[in-house]
Amino acid sequence: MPPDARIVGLASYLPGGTVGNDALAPALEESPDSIARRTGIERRYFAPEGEGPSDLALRAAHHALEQAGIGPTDLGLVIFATATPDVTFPGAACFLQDKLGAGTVGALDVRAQSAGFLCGLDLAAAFSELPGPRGGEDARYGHVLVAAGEVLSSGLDESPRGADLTPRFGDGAAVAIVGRAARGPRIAAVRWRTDGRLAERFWCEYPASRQFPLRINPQNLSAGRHFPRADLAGLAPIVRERLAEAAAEVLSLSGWPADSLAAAIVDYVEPSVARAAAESAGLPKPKTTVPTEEFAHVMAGGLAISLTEVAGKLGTGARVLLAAAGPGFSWGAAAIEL
Amino acid sequence: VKEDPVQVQRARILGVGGAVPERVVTNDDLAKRMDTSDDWIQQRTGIKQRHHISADCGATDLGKLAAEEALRRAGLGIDAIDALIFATLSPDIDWPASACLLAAKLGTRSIPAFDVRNQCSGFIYGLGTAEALVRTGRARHVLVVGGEIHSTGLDLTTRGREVGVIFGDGAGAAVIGPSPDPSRGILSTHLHAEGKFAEKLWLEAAASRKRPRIAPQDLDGDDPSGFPRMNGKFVFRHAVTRFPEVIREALEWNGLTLGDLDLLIPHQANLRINQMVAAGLELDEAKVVNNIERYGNTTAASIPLALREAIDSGRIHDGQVVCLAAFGAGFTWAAALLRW
Repeated sequence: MPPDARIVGLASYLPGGTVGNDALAPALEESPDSIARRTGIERRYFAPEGEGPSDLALRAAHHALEQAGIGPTDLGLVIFATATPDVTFPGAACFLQDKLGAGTVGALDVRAQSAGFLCGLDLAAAFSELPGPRGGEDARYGHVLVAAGEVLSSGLDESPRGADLTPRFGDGAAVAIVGRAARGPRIAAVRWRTDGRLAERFWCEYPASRQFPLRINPQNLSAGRHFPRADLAGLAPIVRERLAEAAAEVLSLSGWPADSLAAAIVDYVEPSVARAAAESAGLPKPKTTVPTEEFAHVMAGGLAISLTEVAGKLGTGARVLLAAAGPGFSWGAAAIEL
Repeated sequence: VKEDPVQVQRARILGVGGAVPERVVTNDDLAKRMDTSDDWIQQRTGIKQRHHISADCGATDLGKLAAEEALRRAGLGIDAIDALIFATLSPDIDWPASACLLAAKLGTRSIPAFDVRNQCSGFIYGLGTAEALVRTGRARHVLVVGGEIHSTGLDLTTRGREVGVIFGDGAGAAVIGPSPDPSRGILSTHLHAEGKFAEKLWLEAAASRKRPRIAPQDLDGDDPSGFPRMNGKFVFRHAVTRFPEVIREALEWNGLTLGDLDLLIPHQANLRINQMVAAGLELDEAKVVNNIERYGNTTAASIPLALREAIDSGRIHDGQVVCLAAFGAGFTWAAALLRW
């Protein structure tokens, strides 16, 4: 039996300096304190003009490849999970593949919102476990790079109309290298799901190819329908329930009691809802990290950025639970043994 | 309790489906809206007509029809589907993924549903992803749907004619599951990209790297970034190199030669590309499926639509070696080799 897929390199990147609530307050016509009280978020990071998620991921990718001890042309596939690609098409994976100098390695772009890292990680493990034509140790794809990240800042409504949601998002990216190996963090379980019936409760509608005769027009723009919109109050009870279920499911699949965890990372756009979900899942409070408290919601990137930080402080064998929920509606969890 | 994933030796296509909107747009229809002609379009692309929607309609609305047909032909109900992959470059909405909207329309269980955004190669990238999920025991049945509504994203004036005349709306779907006979099914998939040429065929705005990512001026001017742009000759040159390369790679990987190939189903971007590829590989015309004259380029939908036609017209027989191949924006290109 060939070894399981493991994470053999992991790194993250947050751009520029922090953007405090005081920087957003004037445009949103709300005081910095009020933003902090209402959202539970103090700061976020914004990418500079001209940088997309592939630029942020590139910096993380160099470190992750170095840890893995391989070069870009040793990769079998590049996967990028983002909701905010550099351009509409082609996707961020193509841009990252070029910036890395990864030759003609395949570049798969996926959209799974806040479950993006869970989706990308599971796909990377699946591809890296595929046997080659000779079977046994022979691998079809070998090492797979999975990037997860966003540049949300260029699509936020910086006017009083956007006051509710704009302070809740940030930019950032992380990269994991996944391959069959004897050492490195082991992916004990990943499960993620969607409920598209809730898709329009937390979304960015435009551009929308379903609109006849043009996918976007000046009226859509002036109505602000190309900015994120959400019914956060309506979603909160659903999020708490789904996050707790997802955490319980992967703990059960891994055979891990909740008190055996060294860390839990629970990501949702509202930190208070993430905290409440962690509590109802029975996760130990002092060991729980909520990414949105640190750098706001980076959708696909949040879990992976926090995992990089948490993993750096813990030793081999430590058990880490990841759980996230967001637009889609999508949610899921993973159990990682460092 | 740790689940032991069941490795599956081979995945196969269990059923395919397709759908296009009713409205047919001929080259003459386009010539009324822009400075072009039926002769000009046919000579360069082989396209005679394409289908465009005539009212609000998303790629997932067509995708639903295609998916339901694929499920019927596979003899499976929607509850049998463990994951849904939607390949598109023209999503219904910006986010979340259109796969979520499609899952809701089909009434799936709460399953992983995500978009693959790989343009013309999207269906084969999706197929390769489904193969990986099925073979590693992560899912038993995966629905792969490629769907596009291009017509609402095209500049159908003389300014946008180079791109505008090529694309059509449509959707195609395939159900992937374990193959009862390990000698038959998806033998391998081969995924490639060369992001160096991303801007040779692309749609820039909305672009997260710009601030703001989209604005009214992106829809206006001489060369608006809110509409797809293409360097046609450059794309053509690369396509006729990468197609034969990846087809040979797929055959060699499986220890087969061009002589073993029974049917090639290439992405339908341009009839002249496919003719040049077939000629270079010395493949008889009877071994190549083309239907671009009726649909135009439907990007992620073109291969399942052509596969469905090939099955329905009796061009594919059990045990035959079939190659699916695509090249397009990214650049991305890919092949899948099947033993039917």
